[in-house]
Amino acid sequence: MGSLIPTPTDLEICDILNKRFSTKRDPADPQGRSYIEHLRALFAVNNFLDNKHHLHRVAHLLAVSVTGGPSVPAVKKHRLRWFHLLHKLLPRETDQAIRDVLTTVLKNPNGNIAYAVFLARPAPIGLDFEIYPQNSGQPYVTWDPQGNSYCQVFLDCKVDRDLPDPAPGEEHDPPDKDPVEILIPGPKKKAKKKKSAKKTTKSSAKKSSLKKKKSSAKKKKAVGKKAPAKKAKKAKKGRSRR
Amino acid sequence: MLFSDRLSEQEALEAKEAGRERLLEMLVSDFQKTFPDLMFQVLLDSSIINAMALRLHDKRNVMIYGGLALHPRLAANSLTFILLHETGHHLAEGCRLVRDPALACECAADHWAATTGANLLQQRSGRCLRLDAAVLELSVIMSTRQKLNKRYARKLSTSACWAKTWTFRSTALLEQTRPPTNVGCCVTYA
Repeated sequence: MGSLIPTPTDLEICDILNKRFSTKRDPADPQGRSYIEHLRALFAVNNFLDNKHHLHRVAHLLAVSVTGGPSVPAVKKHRLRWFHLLHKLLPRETDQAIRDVLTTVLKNPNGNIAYAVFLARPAPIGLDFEIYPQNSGQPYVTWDPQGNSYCQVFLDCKVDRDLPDPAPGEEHDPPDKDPVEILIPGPKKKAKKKKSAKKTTKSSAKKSSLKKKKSSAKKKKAVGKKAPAKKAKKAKKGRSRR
Repeated sequence: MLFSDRLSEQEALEAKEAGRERLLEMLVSDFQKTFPDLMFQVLLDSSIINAMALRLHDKRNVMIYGGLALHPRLAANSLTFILLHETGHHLAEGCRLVRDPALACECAADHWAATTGANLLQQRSGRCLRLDAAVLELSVIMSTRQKLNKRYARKLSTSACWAKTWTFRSTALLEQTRPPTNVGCCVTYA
């Protein structure tokens, strides 16, 4: 899908899912597999798309497994709306269709899905939200210019208004853990450099001033020691010139 | 398009009263004549301020939603450019869109619209695009909607893509700058 005006929040959601279901190398996989191959291996061990798992929680886990920390969308207000859509606003049939399509993408029984891409679009459909085509649960598979077949996951939206904000406390950020939680490893966070604490208590101030005095005294001493040697060198040079 | 901006009913009414629907009909007719392999749709029921190119079951679709088609600040030149840009996603060569490898990227679509697309449209339908007028009209709605968000500034600054902000984009359009061709230079938010 190409659009005239980029909608950053939509693009954040789509791009993070696209990356998680892409053939790019997953930095969090010790075996060096792609994002989707790593996800397929994790899914084979733990079906995180069964009805024991909430979609909004799964979306959060998938996002943080790519970012290594922050969830998506980055703006909290939008994030809560996104979680609310997946948690409360999707019709039951659509929730199930998402699980079915993604399960097929991850099981890949016909071996014809190299990767998946996600997008949302307005469409004249029956329910408020549907997964194309008509919540059938069948993945829509097409081909890219390189001849790879891939799945396009369209979230069709009939509702022509902004996504509503959840009531206060209705959605949690991050969403509550599911009873059987899946662990999707993400990239390790870069360790932040610890800044030295700058406390200005009287005692520490005294200590620091003492240290400064000592160090400056040492410097003076050192300078004093070096100075005669330098003078001697200069003197030597002068003699040799003569 | 879950988080897109929408046009108010009052603004849509303003454009309808000014004969916008007739203009849209003529535009679609000219585009259909020029690019018969593509399908052009004006979806006035949607208040989303946007347009979209989509390939579905090997059909190449261009959709312009009501929020953009009926925007009172836009006129013939900007609407022509919008349709050319979306057509460019299907017909331009070069860099592909990260989100859909079947389509050309934003920069390639813009450049195609301003050059090849505009020429084809004029030759086959007689409709002439005044690019400076289109950019001026679009600036009213794009300058506030396509700003360089601080949150993504670092990610976007490493990209050669000039479709990341309207400032770069409008300059590139007017100067007809060639789009970047290196793989992976397109804007992404992940």
